[in-house]
Amino acid sequence: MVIPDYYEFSSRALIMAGHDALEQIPGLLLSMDAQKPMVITDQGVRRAGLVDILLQALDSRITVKTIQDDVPADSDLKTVHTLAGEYKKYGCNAIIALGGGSVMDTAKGVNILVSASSDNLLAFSGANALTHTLNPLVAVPTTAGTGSEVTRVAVISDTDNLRKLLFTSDFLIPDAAILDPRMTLTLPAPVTAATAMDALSHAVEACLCLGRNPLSTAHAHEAIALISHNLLPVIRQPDHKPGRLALATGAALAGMAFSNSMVGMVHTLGHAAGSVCHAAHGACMAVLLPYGMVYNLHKTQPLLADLLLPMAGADVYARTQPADRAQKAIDWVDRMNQRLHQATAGAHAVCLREIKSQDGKSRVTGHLLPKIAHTALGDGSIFYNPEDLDYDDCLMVLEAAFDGAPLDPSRVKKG
Amino acid sequence: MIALNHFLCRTKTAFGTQALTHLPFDLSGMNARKPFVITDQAARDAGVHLALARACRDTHLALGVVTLTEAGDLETLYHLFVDKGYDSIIALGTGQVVQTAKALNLAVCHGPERLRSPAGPGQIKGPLLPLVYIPTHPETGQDTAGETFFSGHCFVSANLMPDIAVITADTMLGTPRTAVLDSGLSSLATCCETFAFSGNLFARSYAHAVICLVMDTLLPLAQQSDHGELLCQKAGKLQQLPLAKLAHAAAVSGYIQSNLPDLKTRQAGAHITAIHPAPSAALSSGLCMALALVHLLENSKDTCPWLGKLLLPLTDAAHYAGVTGPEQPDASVRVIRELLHALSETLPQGMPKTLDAAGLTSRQISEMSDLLTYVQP
Ligand SMILES: [Fe+2]
Repeated sequence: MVIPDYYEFSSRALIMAGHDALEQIPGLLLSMDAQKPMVITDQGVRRAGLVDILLQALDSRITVKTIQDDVPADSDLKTVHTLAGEYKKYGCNAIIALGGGSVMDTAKGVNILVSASSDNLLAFSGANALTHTLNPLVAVPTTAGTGSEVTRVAVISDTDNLRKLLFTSDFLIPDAAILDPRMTLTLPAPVTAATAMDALSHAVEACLCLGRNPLSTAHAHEAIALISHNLLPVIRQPDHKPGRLALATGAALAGMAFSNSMVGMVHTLGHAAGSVCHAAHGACMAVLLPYGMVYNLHKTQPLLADLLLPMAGADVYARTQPADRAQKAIDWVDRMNQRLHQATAGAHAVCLREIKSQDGKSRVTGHLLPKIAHTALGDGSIFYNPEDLDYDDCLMVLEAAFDGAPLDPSRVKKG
Repeated sequence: MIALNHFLCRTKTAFGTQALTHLPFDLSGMNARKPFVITDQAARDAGVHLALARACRDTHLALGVVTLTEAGDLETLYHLFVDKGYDSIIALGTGQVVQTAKALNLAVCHGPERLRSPAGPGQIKGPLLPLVYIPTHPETGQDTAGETFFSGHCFVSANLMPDIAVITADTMLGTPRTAVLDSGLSSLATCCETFAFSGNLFARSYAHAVICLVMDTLLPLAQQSDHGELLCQKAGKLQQLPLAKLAHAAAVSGYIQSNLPDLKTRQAGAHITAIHPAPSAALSSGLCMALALVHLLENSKDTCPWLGKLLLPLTDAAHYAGVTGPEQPDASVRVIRELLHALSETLPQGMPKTLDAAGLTSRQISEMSDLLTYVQP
């Protein structure tokens, strides 16, 4: 086992994972003297009836002061400030974040403001600008993907200034992550597929990228096994509770892994595609993951070969020649995308061109690829990628991924 | 999958060559300006506290250092801490140093009277002051677990886990080989049991990493010593890194212990140490745990859910996948037995490799059968 010269691993969220995990929340809030929570969620989550399930799990010891369901698909600065005002107005002393990545990030932003009694979120942006423990925050994810329920990161859009603000601090790790399969049972198949592939990309990048360490790798391998073995069964049988719990657990483990090792070019390009085209993050990750693996193959061969075991199982791993295992792991991800494409009647995109908005229009168009490539160069995750990327490299990968064409490894500049 | 899994690790692990130089930054992130450093004579004699002082030079930190033997009882430490206005604690050492640091933290935050009666889970409310743990030896996981023992009382709270475990070769001191074995075998038993029996996937992921660290480190370290029972008094460069890796494994095994307090091998280790006619350094609690582990795995082959898969962290992916599924449980136990045998070879007087050989009667062994058999929940 190769150990880096220096690394840190921190994952301070209390994790409660199980079929009735929501019922643990009242005791948990009481133990933190936080009986007056605000619930932050979005309208989709509310329409799906998940707020009702949450409220039923709470008991008379807990008084939900207000339920705020106006979080947009992309967390933004104005929403954070508005919700911080509501928190104070209703005299809340904790937050329950019920939703996906945007809700989690919004809740983290609100918690920064209300804990510091500040009205200037910008003052806390960047790395480690927080110096105090925040108010209690309980994260209840309703997708199994982003891992935000356990990460030390929040991304909040400053739409007026066309930028995304990044916040990183151990203090942003929620106090508790509640993984309850009831929260993902009604997730549509394409969303289940895309968010799970996001989690898979977290785990794979955690294993390959420069910040990897023994603890993040162990968490990531477990995550890969859980996602690999449970994703297709859950797509075929959406109400499969053990499978849903396994995917939620896999996403949290992947979150713990990448929060400590960082991610690389799959996210570099995916973040850029998200901010330029508003393409769904999970869909971008699914498409770009095999490209990132091919691009870095020459620098990560043994690490990639190791991934074949949790992905495909011991039999396939043993049957595959050692020299072929890395390529087989890449092929496995490709095949998983193809299977998800079939299982969702084509809704799961296998190339960037196929990523659609809700009204069926293509999100990523060919003429935007240069802009995405340019934007990617400003993303911090690029520094953790095993192989260097410049503008031409980014564009080359994006062009291949746009059509779903294979990436020619001989065109990768090997630094 | 089990109905409900909990996992909490409050501690940030910082491992490696720059771990000490990062510490001032971490302390400032916790608003700590005046840390109270508790250490022991061996660490002080070796000048380890000077490495810490160097790392904090030209920073906002004002360190105070006390050596446990000269500092006297906790009351003295308490008054020193309060009178001088310290705001955080650094435990530079292992064992007694850390137990004292945790007790001091309780006394400062909850009043010295808090230490007069034990406290179980949930009884210690509210945060404690920042506590940094910098081990000078590999230990057995107790230092990072959320518990402390003081004046015959046990105090349990996740808040007693250190905020940061700073683990670096720079602070590793020469360690008796028996202590190395105690640490490595204790971590191995804790984590093999966790991996083989627990459905808690978070605990199992940590356990996986620990088993790999121990399997990489323990035997080579035991074989390096050319000083009989002792590794060199001041660990040389060759020993320092593997010692730090073992200390890392022990720290993580402490996180697991905090979350899985009922591990059978730990209970068996304590039980055997208590009933054994002549407990000695050669029959450490870690060795007792490892011997109990072998019994536990052997007795539970048919009921142990992940005994076959245990072969993966014990060896590597290629080895694991090369053994057929039905053969994997036996292969896992064999790897542990072979390790015990190889470790025994490094000791001039050898070491027992079974509970019988350790001197336990068959009656004593059968009396503890519930600790040596896994029953499916
Ligand atoms: Fe992601």
